Amino acid sequence: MKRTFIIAAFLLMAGIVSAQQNFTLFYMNRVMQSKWVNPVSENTYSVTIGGLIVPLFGQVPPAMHFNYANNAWMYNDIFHKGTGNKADSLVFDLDRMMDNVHKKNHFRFENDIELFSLGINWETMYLSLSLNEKIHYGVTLPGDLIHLMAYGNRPYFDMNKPIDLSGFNLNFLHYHEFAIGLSAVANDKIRLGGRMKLLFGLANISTSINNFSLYTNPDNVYMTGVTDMTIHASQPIPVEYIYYEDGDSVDFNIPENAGDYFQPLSYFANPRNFGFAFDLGASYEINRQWSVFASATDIGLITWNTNPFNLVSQGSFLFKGMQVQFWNDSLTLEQSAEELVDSVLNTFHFESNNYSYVTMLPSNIYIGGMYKFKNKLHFGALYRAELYKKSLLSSVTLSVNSDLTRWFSAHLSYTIANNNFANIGLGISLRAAIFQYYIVTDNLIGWIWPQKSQNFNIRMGCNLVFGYKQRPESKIYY
Amino acid sequence: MKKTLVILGMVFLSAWLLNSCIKDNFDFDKWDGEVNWNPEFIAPALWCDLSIAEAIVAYDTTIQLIENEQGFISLKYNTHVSSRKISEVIYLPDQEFNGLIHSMLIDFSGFNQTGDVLSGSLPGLMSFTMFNNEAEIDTVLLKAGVLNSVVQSTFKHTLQLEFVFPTITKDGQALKLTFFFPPTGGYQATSNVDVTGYKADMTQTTQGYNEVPVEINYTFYHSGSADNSGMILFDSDFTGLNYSWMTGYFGYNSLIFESDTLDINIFKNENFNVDEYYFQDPKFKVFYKNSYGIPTNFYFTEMFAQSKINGQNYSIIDYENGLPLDSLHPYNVSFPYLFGTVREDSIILHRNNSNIPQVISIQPKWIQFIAHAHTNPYSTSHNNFVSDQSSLDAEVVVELPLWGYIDNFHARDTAEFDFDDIYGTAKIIKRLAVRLDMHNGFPVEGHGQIYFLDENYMVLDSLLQSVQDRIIPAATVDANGRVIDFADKLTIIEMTDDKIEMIKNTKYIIYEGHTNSSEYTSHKLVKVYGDYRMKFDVSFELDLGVNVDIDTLNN
Repeated sequence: MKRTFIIAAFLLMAGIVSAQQNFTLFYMNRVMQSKWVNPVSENTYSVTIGGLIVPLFGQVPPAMHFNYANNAWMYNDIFHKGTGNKADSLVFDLDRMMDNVHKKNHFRFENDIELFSLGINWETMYLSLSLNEKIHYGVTLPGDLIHLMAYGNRPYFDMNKPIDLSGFNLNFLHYHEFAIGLSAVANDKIRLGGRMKLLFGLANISTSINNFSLYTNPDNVYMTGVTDMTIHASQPIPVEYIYYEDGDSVDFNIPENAGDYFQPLSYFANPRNFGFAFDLGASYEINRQWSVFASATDIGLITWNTNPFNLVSQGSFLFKGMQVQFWNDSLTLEQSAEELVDSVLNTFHFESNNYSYVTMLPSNIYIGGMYKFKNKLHFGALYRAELYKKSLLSSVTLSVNSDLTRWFSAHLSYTIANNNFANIGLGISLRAAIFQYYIVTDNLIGWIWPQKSQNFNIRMGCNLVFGYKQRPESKIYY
Repeated sequence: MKKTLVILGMVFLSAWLLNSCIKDNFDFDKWDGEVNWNPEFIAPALWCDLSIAEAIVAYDTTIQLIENEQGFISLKYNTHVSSRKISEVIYLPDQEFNGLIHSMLIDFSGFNQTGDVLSGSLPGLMSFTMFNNEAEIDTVLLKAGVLNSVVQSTFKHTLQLEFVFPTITKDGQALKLTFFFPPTGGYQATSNVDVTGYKADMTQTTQGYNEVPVEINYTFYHSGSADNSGMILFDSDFTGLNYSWMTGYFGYNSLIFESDTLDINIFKNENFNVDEYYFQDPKFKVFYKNSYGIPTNFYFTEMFAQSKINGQNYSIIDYENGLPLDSLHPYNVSFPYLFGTVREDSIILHRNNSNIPQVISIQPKWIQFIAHAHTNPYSTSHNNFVSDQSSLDAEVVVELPLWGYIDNFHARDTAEFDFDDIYGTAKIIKRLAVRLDMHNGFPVEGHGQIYFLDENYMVLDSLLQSVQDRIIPAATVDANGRVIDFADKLTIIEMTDDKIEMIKNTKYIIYEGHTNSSEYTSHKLVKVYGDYRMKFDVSFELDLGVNVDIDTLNN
């Protein structure tokens, strides 16, 4: 039982992660991958080649980015060491766990694999190409749902308040990203950049919930459920949703030869779910010490046309309990319960459609500044806002950045994000001959004290770099 | 460079050391396994919006309800008795008409040489045998029947013979049979005539009923034989006669002689008992539908009821004031005056003209009776008529208008209930409160109780602690006994963990319920209308107290 409980707790934690962060990466100009978040960052190498498909060095370490985050709990909010006579024990702390529940609790995963990247520095311009494989998924649990499970619905009843489940969200997104970027100096003070991305979706599940609530009337304890939601899916295997009105039951019909539908080559080369996105950025050098910049990334969408599948539910359901039918003594309790389920199904039943749909990418806005304290010591401040499923997720990062030598740079950051104040980030780039290794995380603490972290992320890879280009003193980048 | 490496090394060493204490956080062998989960739920469980009619039918599925224009409700129990088939009571048997015409009856003078022709006519009379000796039939319209005739002549002359029935006509033409005989003598002729559609007027004889005149016309053609002697033998039978209608006087016939049982299930339910009740206006009704055009009476020769109170059978006809519908007090059922019409009639026995209230007061589970109906009990008028569709149906009804009072209508039963089966689940319940939100629009109050008993039938505890909890008040009624407002009451029945411990050895439960009509102690008469409703909602408040070592849950 204990094992089951533990596994369930971890699944809850693990099924939950937050958006691409890259707070520390933002200032790592020497690494071409910083352009993925800051289109105007100026790379110091004439040519950079990276990605998993680069023989040998592209795989050691693999060019990838992994991110997990939630905005609710760290491990110690759920399990922690006890006190007093339980000082040697591990205790489950429901109260502390609930203290950290928010209105919307996002749990998100991101797995990005950089297949290929190329950067060319040409005079005042920088041209970049990249091909990335991205798999993002996550779930958002409404705070009310967690409170309901932990405390029951009585508190809501006492407060005459509906249980708001509209924050629930389920998301799975797998797509290819082919990006072309260009940044250039506009004048002595301004640098502009942008990336155009062609997106090819492979599979998707997404929800759009406008209303999903449960209200218990204090006068008569009747429950009113209201729903206005849509679930979209696009996947290689067609799914047929069958609603039996007579029997008030539903079924999902998957073809018997489902395996025939999933051909790896056709799956990965599927061009039908086309999308596009773009990144924009600008920097402005106020003086030799101060500069500011702003960028917006992942402004775009994907249209889903492969076996699109949509479930729409709109309804209002008044639940008064099971109807007592004195006059129908042949109706058993089991039948009554079935009738109740049928009634709920009938009310909340999903209507199935097969129309194409569009999903927006989670978009980011970065606004920041940099102060050159010394030639090799710069301080940065960065605000990031992410628009994710009708939520605005904000974070603030302070960083210290230094190119200690021509072959080594280090970046230290402190970030307030996901309702967590303990995020110390570290980024390192190390060059040996033409091999540039980089590794960066926004939460070093998470790797040292995982029990005290809500985030785990890492980005790493090896680039082949050619032609170190000393940045002029007058420029804001180094 | 060296300095940098040293710094980095120190950082990683520190991290590694710190990491050693991290293990304790993930060592689930050290987890105390305790989960303290105390959610509180409240949810609706049951609801009911019950009309009085649904409530009554729930009690007795066989019952019929009558709701008058004002919505006032009566209970109805009924059974039907019907007359025998008309074809078994009033019918036309096969008829026979035969005879012999001897040459002595015919004047052959002057009929002595070839070429002579002798014509003449003899009168006849055909009598009809009827379904009873008293029957005097005037007219019959036949819808089926055949006249079979066999005629034989022994005359040595050619003979043409006609049988004419002048009062049996169809389309204005009399029924006529014609036979030809050669001069050989001993010749036999036959005839089969369909008489469907013929109307027989049997009033044109001296008797004036059950007879029709017959003309026998003969024509002889002399064959040259000097022998004028001979005879004619005839035999004509009407068979398979059926009528469309018939008039006359049909005599004394027994239309109904039938026994039946009328179940009154409201008094048959053994699970419910009542101390006292009173119906203000019980009725015993017999409804008739009569298409016989005959004066008819109806009465019961026997009528018994079995009482639920003592199981005895009571003769209703003799009980108390008696039932005025016996052979000494038959009811003359109205009858139609026109063909094709049905006359409806009824007799209603009530408090003022019968012993029905006394009969109802003994809680009759059933009433058994033998019913009779006879035609022409008093007169011999020839105004009777029937058709082939005539019938007499009687519906015997006991009607109980819901106007009265009831005292302690109650039920009690024992059921097995092994609390061990749910104790494992129940022990995590810290508090269970059942909310009963009652809106009673019935003019009856109720109270109930559930007792928890151990294996020796010793009472461990009861569900409802206070008298107040047990009572569901009756709806408010006006001076006429009509409900004018709901009685509302919210009852919260709490079951705490202490109580659960107290009843954990329960093996049986006894549940009982009692109802009384509004102000029954003063014998206030209440009336029940169809718009009465009772609504209630049952919801529960459930406080769980899951304070357990999770490792023990499977044990």
